[in-house]
Amino acid sequence: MSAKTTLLLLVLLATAAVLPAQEPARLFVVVPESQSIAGLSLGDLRRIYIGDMTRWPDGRRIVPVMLRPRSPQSELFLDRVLRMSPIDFAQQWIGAVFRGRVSAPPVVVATRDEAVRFVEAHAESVAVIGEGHDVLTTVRILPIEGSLPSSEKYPLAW
Amino acid sequence: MMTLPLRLACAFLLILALAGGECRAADSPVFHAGGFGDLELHSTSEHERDGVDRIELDVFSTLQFNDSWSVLGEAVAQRSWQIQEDHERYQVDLERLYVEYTRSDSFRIEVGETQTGLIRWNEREHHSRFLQTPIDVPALARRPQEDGAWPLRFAGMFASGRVPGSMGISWGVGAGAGPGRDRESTPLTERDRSLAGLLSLSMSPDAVPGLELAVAEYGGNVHINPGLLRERDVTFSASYTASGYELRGEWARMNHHLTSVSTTYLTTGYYTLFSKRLTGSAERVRPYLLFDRLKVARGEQYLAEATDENAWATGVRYDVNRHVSVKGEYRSQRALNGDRESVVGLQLGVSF
Repeated sequence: MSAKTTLLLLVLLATAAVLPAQEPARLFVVVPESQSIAGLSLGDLRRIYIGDMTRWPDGRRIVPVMLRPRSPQSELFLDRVLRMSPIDFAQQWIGAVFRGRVSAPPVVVATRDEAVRFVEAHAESVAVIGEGHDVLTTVRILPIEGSLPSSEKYPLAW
Repeated sequence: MMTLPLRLACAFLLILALAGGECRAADSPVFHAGGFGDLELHSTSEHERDGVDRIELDVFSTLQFNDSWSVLGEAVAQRSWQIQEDHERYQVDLERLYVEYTRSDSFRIEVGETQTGLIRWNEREHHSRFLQTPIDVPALARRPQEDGAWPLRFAGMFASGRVPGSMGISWGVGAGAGPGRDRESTPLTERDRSLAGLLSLSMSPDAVPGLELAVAEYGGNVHINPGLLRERDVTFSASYTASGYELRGEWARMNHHLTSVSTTYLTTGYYTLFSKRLTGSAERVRPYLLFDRLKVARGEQYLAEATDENAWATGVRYDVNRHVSVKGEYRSQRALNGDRESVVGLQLGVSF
């Protein structure tokens, strides 16, 4: 093993030792019970939240909902799914509105409960929320890439 | 020169945008107004244009009547310094004004004055410099009013849509009138209006989030005096924007065939942009590097005001917050006399 490779391995090991272990986390995508869509691909979920996909299959305008940008769930969603920083995300939507593709940026709510209540009341909405202790009975959890959160293949679990 | 209705439309848009904000009542049309402001300062090695170089106010409004119908208008007021003419230029212009019908993401149609979408940079940024990373617009994307070469404005009908599926394929087809004999206007009612058509295709596959590849072709007939100019333009672009990286590149070729003397002029250009948002406590900082080239066909009178570009620029964009940015840039470019010159620029951009 060359000196360079040894040095690289040492740096990697040191980094792994210093970084805190991440808690397992899952995100849920919820829609109203009345929403007929069966599920979303990860690509379409990303398109909805960057303003490239604006309509449900029935032609109604999609109203995306998300938690405050600096919440842990939003940071996880921005980092792992949208692959954007909060500033890039905000500017992406300023541009999307300016280009006329969407009429407004996502609705921002403070808490998971608030997101669920908004989705219950708005037939065209979709929200990305974190895990909670309660059972979601008034909204429907959408399968992503054909998998529900209980599946090992669920793509929004880390 | 703008007609009276256009001026009134600009004034209306300006008032609406300055009133600002968003109005929404249950089951009523949604109105949104906003805009961008830029202030640029430059200092050149020849000291020929030191000081405030450009001030611009770009305002837009959208009125969403329902899920299908909407109207968008955009107007720009600008004060800039014209290096070739050695004087300041004031301009108020209607940038976009169109009615849009959207049936689904697969099909939407716009009717009115809009962008050709031929140059991807303009399709993404339109007129705002707040949204773009560097201070200057690449030469390919400069408007005719800024001595640019490519036809960026278009009046007519433009249909576009996205094909469902993991390849993220989007298409666009347009037909109408492009720039006329005077490249700064798109005559509609005159007998010598320039019929033009546009085709575009792009893909953004799910497998590589943030990647987009696009191609566009534009064709038109411009009635010049004397004769006819047949225009065929093609552009290829690629971009990758994810995880803080921004890589953009675009190549374009403009083919002008002057029928009266059977002469063909070729103008080509490209740009590449690399930038990366820093992480952690420096996440507001985005350093960048831009290469910008344009070679205008020699002897073509129609593009007499367009100039070659051979420049590179490096700088830093700092986002004070999501609505305010400050950019500092060093640029090395070829001056009009052929020598290289250095330009240091500072830009304050806001969105509202």
